[in-house]
Amino acid sequence: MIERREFLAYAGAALLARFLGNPGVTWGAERNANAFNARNPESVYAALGLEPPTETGSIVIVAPDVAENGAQVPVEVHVRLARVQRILLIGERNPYPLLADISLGERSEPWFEVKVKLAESSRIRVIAQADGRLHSASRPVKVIVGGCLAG
Amino acid sequence: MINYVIRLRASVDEQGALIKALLTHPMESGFRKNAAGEVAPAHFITEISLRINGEEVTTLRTGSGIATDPLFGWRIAGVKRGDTVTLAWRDNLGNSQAKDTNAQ
Repeated sequence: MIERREFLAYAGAALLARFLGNPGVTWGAERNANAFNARNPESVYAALGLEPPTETGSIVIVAPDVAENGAQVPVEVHVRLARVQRILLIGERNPYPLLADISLGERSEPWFEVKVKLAESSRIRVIAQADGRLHSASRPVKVIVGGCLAG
Repeated sequence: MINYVIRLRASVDEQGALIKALLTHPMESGFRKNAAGEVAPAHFITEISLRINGEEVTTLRTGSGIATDPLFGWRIAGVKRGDTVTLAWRDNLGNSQAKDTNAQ
């Protein structure tokens, strides 16, 4: 059982952390909440002001053909283009398709790795912006147990 | 109360550094029901910032479709041994965490 004094110490520390946040961290460009709340890929593109993408061959998506557990699907993205500024990762049949929106600085290589949730078998789509132009690729992943409703 | 942990590793090689982060976070989508049949409220990381010696090199904005206890990997050029690598995140409920490590 937590003593009153101990509780107050915890509560005080939590409150202080809340107000102080993490000193030294400033957050850059705003997260586009409309894009993340969009319920289908077309609405994601509309919220971001992008044309629906056409496929090009410069993006490699590494993911399992069959994911037994949709709650932990490893995805690796390589973009074979120069000056990649932004990469979007989309799970086309997820309830909220936009998974990640990555801004790359000059020192970031156009590569990243992440584990995502897929609600059902779906295409994973990557859109990369390089030198102001959009490139896209996708690959299907078959999901045995969906990752949104189950644990 | 959730014990948030950031495990951060930066391994320097010829091209720069491979940076991997494993975070403790429920990444709750807001769809899932618990054992009692109640919907667990949405609770997920919305932004992650990666810095090398204080300079921001990558920002990742995320939705609820990232896996629970998420894993991320990046490759950053020009990182030397001993450089300070900082990862910070914040979530939709206003929590935030940060961690520093030295590249090795």
